[in-house]
Amino acid sequence: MSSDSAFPAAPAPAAPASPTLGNNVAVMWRVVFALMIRESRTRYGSSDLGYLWAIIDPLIQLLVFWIIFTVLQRVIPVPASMPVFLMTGIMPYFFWRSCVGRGASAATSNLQLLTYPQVKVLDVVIARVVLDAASFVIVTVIFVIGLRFFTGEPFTSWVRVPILLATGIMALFYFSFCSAVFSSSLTRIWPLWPQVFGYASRPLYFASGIFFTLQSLPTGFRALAAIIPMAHVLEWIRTGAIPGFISTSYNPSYVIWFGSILFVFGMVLEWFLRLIGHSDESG
Amino acid sequence: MIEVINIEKTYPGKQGRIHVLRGVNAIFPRGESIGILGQNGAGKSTLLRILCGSEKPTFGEVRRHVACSWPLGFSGSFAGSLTGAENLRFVCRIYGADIGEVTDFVTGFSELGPSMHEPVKTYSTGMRSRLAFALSMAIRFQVYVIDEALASGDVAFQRKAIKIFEERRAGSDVIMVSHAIEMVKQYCTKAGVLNGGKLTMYDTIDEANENYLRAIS
Repeated sequence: MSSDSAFPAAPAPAAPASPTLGNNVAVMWRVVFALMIRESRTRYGSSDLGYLWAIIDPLIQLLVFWIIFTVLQRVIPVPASMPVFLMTGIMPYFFWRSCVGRGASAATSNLQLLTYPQVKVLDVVIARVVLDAASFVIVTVIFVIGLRFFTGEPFTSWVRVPILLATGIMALFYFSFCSAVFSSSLTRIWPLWPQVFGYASRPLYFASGIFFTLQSLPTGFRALAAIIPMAHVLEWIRTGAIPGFISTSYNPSYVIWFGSILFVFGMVLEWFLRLIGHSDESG
Repeated sequence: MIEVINIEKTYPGKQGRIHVLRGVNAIFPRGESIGILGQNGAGKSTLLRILCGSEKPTFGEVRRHVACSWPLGFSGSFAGSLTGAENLRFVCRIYGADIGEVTDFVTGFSELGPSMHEPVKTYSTGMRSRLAFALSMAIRFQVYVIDEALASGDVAFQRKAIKIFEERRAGSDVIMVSHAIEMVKQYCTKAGVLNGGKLTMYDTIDEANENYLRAIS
């Protein structure tokens, strides 16, 4: 059916992985980029409904608490409208929780990918967090525009000090990434971790300050809530975002240090697992 | 060159850990094609997966100074929910290969046609294997790794696979595991025997075969 030299030459030479740092970074970037595209296909599927869910989920949360707060005639502790106060809490918290969950399943749900020698668990975690961060930004922008349209919330309600808001969001990304790295390593030695986190994240949901600010708490409770790093992140973002709200109750270096320790711990654990030849299929 | 340094591999079993490889040492130099003989269950496929990096050893180290393929026809790394074309693009991206050229080549060679745009989970075993084989022929590796058979599929495809592999072999080496001496003789210049979790290399294939036959009798 085909003549003797019918086959075109192999078009693509595969570069041997020479152990230079520049090469490693280039390979890592290629892998992370490829994983992001693959992940966005497998996560949301080929239907548009999957992408829509990224908006519907926080929308339901917002509406539920909006209604509850209104019915209970609760007064929010900041000089802002209800949706701005709730959204500046719900969105960052959900982002962080999602990152921890995605980190936890990074190795186990991608076992087949790890058969490519250049794909590392860390690459999967990076790809997932970056994808989540992109989704976070897009969904937030949609909400800001949507609320402007439906409830007349002015754009200026979302930014008080731009640099503070930007650093707050960067801190959120950093802390969530570190948490995801930690979570991915922890799951590999403790398979129950995702379930444990599932339970732990419920009280954390209430304690992280979605419904209050650290500034508004009495001193005793404040010290207790201030143990939770995400409470600092929410306070940071709200201080940057909400006009008229200035908090002195959050500690930026606490967030950065807490995140860095989680990251280092996660990486050391990963290195240790590699050293002892831990195989993930064993669970 | 691939250096294998003191590889051990154990798997967790129902009654304690199963020791598959017990200290394998070998050097696979560039320019030599090497066959590894061994019985079923000797750990040949495990050793091969560790060699090409698909699996990590429990102890020991593999130093790879060449671009090494995955075992030819291995389709276990495809995501079932993605289409053949999407899986192909992923592989191109991580190997830094040109997506357009590889797509043209694979679509033609694998004879998958419009099925390239269907999810891989709808493929038959033969279709998966054809996609995997065509993909490994589209990327130029310095070492091709074969686990027993070159390609599965019907006779016509196998014939085509053998033909293109002859062309690819020109500038590349082969590492293969097999329990059949004929294939090793066809593709390899040297051979070794994997027995009792240890690998012994021999200067000639005949010598390896004699020792292999002695070991299994």
